[in-house]
Amino acid sequence: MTLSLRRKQLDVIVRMLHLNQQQLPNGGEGQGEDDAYKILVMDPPCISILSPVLKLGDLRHQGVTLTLAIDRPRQAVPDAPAVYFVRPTPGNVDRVAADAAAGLYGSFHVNFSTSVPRPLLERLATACAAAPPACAGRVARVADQYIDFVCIEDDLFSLAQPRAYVALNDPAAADADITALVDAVALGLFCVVATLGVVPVISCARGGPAEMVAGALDARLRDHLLAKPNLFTEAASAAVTSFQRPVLCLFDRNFELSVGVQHDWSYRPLVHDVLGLKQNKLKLPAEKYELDDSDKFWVANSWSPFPKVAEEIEAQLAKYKQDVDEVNQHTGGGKVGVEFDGTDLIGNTKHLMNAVNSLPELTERKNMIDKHTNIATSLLGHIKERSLDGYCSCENDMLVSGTVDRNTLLSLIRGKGTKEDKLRLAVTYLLSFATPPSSELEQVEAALRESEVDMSAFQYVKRIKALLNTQFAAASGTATKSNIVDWAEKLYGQSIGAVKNLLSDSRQLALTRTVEALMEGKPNPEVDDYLLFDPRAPRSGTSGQFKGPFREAVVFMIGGGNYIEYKSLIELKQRSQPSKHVIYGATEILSGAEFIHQLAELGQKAGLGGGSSNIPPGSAQ
Amino acid sequence: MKITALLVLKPSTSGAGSSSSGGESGPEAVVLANAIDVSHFGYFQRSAAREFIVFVARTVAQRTQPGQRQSVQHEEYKVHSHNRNGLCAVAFMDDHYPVRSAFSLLNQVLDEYQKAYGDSWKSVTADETQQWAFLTDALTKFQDPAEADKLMKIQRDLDETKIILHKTIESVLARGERLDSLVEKSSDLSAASQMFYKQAKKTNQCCTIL
Repeated sequence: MTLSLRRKQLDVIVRMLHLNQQQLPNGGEGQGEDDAYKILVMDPPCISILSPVLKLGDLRHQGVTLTLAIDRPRQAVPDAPAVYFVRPTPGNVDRVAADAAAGLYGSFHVNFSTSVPRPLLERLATACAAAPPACAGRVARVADQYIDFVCIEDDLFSLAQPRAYVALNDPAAADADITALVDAVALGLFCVVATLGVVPVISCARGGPAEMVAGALDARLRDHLLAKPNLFTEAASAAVTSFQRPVLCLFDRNFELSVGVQHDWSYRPLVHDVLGLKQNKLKLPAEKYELDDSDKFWVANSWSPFPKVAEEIEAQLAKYKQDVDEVNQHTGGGKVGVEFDGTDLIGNTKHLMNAVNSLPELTERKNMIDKHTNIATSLLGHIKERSLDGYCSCENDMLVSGTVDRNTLLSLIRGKGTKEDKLRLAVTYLLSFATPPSSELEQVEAALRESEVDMSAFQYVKRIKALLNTQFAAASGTATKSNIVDWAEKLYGQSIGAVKNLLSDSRQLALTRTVEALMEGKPNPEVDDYLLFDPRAPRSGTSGQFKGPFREAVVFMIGGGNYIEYKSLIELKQRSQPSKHVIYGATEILSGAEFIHQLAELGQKAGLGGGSSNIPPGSAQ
Repeated sequence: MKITALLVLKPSTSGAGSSSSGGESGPEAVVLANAIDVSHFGYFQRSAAREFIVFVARTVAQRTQPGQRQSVQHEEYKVHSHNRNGLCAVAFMDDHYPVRSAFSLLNQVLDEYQKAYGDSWKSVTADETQQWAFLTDALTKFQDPAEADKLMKIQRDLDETKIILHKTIESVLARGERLDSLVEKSSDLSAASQMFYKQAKKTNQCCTIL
């Protein structure tokens, strides 16, 4: 059974839209209310959850005639059932109760996106009990749906928890703040595994946020499994023939910081980073585009290097023109002055029919070509304006081969490119070398100041880099300098000693290597000291723990993920034999610029960099 | 100006002539007392920061000879170290903390340690985990370098005295009436000076009338 998180989430949503009743084989017979048209009421976070999975037309197919926001004034529709899909917050609960008391809809089917705390449930019950008797009876059902995550792709999700990295690393964060955030992440991951219907084995490195989240999730799963039946018994029985438990690999952003800031040369990461792709939607100055599974060009080319994408657009355009010429020729559009010959009437009619039939397809192809031409042209403008090819090339050299041309580095920092671009390059430089020569480092810093770059992010990374070395040295059980360097190099994703990825020229990330090792389950010095939590196993026993191999994995990055890691994990799937399946998720999906803003903010909070920062806080999907 | 950590260590004297034995990384200093402020690090970095500081302190202490004072720049920290008869005090400070004050503080730490513990430290072979109250208090108190440096304190007191004197004179000069009575009562001015002052004032009044 291949895990498709989006398919599972869609199933839950569709069932919710059909008022959480089991689908009968004979359709509408005997199900009066299910046949009726429905009103869907949502709050903004749930709109974000639903929109990548269902379009407006899809909603109509499910019988939803109206989609409304819960916090806007709404007109009464007394004879229609309403499906509410909201987060469990006091405000939303009060709104639902007020709507029920006002008799806005014929019946109320309340679906919370995740677990509703008991006090809130009691609050809703109390408010309904106080309403007139006729209105109180309108609340037909209250359900926890456990789908509080945003599925961007079949195997890519985000918990939509912004700025988790800042919150987790903030020096001023109180223990209660850290605990609350860790619990929120654990609850989000619980929603993911509940939707998948499988109880994972949880794996994480020692220390840091990953271990805290793993412990919290393990405890939550254990509590839930005590109840019978629970969310997993139904799913387990349904999938008993091909049941296989996945491994949930938890990572902290500091595990491989360089991926968070580096520039990438593939089409999809470029669109995300440079043009601001959000939930598969793209806004250019002139137009808006959707880039999802319905776009065949995007599906086929989104991971290609940008120059290949440009070539492919050219090829598609050439083929389109050729097809158009062919149609014109067959229909006689290209001939002038040819006498009409009665003997060709039948043939001409056939060609005309073929032409008419092929018009919709040709139009669609033209629209697609225009769309990607516009996107590629816009990208090219940014690439030239900012010398993005130089940044990609220089960063790739540093990370893959561990070398840097000093002149190239300094001229990039002094040349074109946004301040964020220069910062990202400098941070990549810091992370690529265990101990860069101090004279070279001083030149880099001087060049950054010359470009009036805010130094907070750079200084912050400088500081935590030393801590990362210490942390991982402690984890490896030795304090000698050479081992620190070895660990630092491995964990910073350098390819020294690593096998290059045969499928592409980009390096294999430390994340991907670690996930591969965890899935294989063989002894491996990189992952032998990783912790394992098995919520199904007895708590005390450690000897009987199942260590793999696993064919399914869910990889989660705490503190923000990105398309580069997602792409690397896709490549792992494609080259694995026998096949593996990996789902990737993060607290939020960040571009390099967004992440560098968070680093800068942390630098400010830690008192580094000096002066006040005018960098706006980064937003993320 | 900030102190991040204060530590008292006993550098190892075993095998002084040999750099390493077997597979070990060499002799290490023993931590006798420590006070470390990691509140400006993130929640998950604090234990790593603490380890890092202890590690660097051991390294520096082990390389500070008896009778030697030295300052080592490491990352953004200035690490000051003072070894007196085999007992070594180490401080982590930023660049703006005056070096004189730093070593004055280390001297006090060593004095207080010997007062509190005598010579018992000489037989210690493993890290002490118990907190020493003086060191924790010192970490807070000596964030102000003047507290550690008597000369700087006296200098600042003198500056404040000057300010007080200036204020006193200025406040008196702002009230003419008081000056009159001051002149009357002052035993420092001779009778002739008093007469001169009064007549001068009368002359001014006559001119005003005219």
